[in-house]
Amino acid sequence: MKEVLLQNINKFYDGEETIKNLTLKVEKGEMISLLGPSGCGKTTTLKIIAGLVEADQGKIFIDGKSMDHLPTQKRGAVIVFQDHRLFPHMTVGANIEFGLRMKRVPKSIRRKKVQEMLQFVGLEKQGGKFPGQISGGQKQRVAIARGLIVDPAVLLLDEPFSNLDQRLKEEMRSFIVDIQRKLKITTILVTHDKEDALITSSKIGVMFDGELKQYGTPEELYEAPNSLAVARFFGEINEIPYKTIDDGKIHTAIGIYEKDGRLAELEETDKLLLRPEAIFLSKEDDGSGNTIRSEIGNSVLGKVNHRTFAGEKTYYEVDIDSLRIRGSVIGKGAFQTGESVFVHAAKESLIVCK
Amino acid sequence: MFQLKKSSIKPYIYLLPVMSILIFVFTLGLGISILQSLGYHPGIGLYEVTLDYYREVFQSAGFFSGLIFSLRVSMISTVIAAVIGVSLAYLLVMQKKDYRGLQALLKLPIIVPHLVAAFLIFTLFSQSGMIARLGVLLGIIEESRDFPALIFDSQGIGIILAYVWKGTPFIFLIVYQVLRSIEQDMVEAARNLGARGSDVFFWIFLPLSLPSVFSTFIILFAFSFGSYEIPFLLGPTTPRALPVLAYIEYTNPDWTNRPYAMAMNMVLAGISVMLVWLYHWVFKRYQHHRKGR
Repeated sequence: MKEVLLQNINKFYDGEETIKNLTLKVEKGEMISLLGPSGCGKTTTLKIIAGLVEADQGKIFIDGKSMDHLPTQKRGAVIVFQDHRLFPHMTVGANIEFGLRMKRVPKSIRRKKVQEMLQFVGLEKQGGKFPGQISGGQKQRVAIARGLIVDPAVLLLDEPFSNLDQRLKEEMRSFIVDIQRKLKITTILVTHDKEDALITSSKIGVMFDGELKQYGTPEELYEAPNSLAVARFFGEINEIPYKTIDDGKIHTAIGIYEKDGRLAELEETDKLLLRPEAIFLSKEDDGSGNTIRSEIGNSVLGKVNHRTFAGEKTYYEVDIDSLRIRGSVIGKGAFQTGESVFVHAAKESLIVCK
Repeated sequence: MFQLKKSSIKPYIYLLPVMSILIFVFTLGLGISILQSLGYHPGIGLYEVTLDYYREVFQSAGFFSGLIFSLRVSMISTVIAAVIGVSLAYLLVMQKKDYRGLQALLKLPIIVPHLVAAFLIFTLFSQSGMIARLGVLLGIIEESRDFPALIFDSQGIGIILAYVWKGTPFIFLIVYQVLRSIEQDMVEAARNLGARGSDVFFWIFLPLSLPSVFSTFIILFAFSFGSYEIPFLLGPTTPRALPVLAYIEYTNPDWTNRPYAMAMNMVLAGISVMLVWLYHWVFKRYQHHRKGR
């Protein structure tokens, strides 16, 4: 278990800054994710940690030791590459053995460790096969075993689930989480898929254009993103127009809220956001003669513009005057296109974005 | 179905004019050589098919020493050329720059004819050559005859030098392209797992380029083993390389010696065919190991 610290890392490619002043701390035994779109610099960050790419500025510490000018062989930061990069001319066993061989570990110990590792990743019978003779999921396991066998200080996983189908992806995700928990190895996962990051990691760093925009727990990032870009990366989001009037209340397009709690520090330049699942829709009239509006106490009338059934969820586009918002309900949903609905949202679900 | 057949035949139809000439010349030449080696040469009144010529060739004093000399010189020169060629290719591949000028320079000996190569080696390495004279000029040796006899020597050093000079760029050219095609990603992965420069060469580059190195080795070996110009110009009189013996018999004014030349040529051809078979056998085993890659 080793701690990883990146301090003010900068990297330039052809005069363009691809990593901008990146600072990040990964605690011992922690598994974190670097999440962002393609080309945002997350893989470059991994390569910088591994020593395959040199940072132009900044410092890296692994377990308190500076990695300045230390070659990749001596860092103990092993990457499991997106495309596995298994050596095609070596058997699965020889691939796994490779790192130990490079460390000049005696043959008898190597053989024993390879057998243990094959067993650990569930590939006992595949040791004699060549990479071309095993499935994608098995290749992934071999790549992970090849990295783990050298007992790395930090394990770096570069988009490990991107080439897998959904079923295999889920299997590999739990496999990696399971391994990480068992070995308590400090792990940094790079992914463009928010689901991978949310499921596997205790912390997530969201990167855009070489910059770490936010670093925090999955809950923090989902519920309190610090920018519209981060909020959007974690799923659909509605931007709610609002006005602060002298009455001390916030008048939004979906209702009027007291300026307290999480809205207390709302400034005019801030954005007010709302996730689709935080929007509640209800019928204008429940048949009893009392509108739901009176029960909720804060809602506005809208009209369903479009309904999309997506299996476990149903999405609605609701027009409120000139504003169109997107809501979702679990299951089929009770509303049809053209129907009038009341739209309401709890104050706690509103996201203030600076 | 017909479309498929038509398209699969197409390349053969396109190649037919060239292939027919090649096959005709090759099979005719080979057929005539085999017949003449068996003593059938109606042009000079030899009609009896016999193995006597082979027997006599095998029993002659110069044959085995010539065969061993040829095998040794070819093997040594090809091994040296392979080691230098592969090393150069690896060193150049590992550079960030392309060094196009250096590459062009390295390829230069390929276009130089063997005769010119022999002349160059003679001019440089003979006892009256430039290096010997330079040695005298610098006071390293007293007289040019003190310079070691590298040309016409019984070890065939002059021949080896010429073949190394000609063969190294050939191996370099092929292996360099193969090494370049090996993804740098693989090198990155190996380095990340602790591989040093020499580890990368021996564990990644060499095994992955081995089929190409081996095929180039076989081509080069077969060529140096079967060609007569350089051993004829730079080699010793004893032992004589087998192709030189065949050439002498072939150019003998007495035409009845022609079957001896052909018998020797058949031995040379037979060994070359065996090498090609060996290459296929090894390659097949190698591919089998990596099947489904």
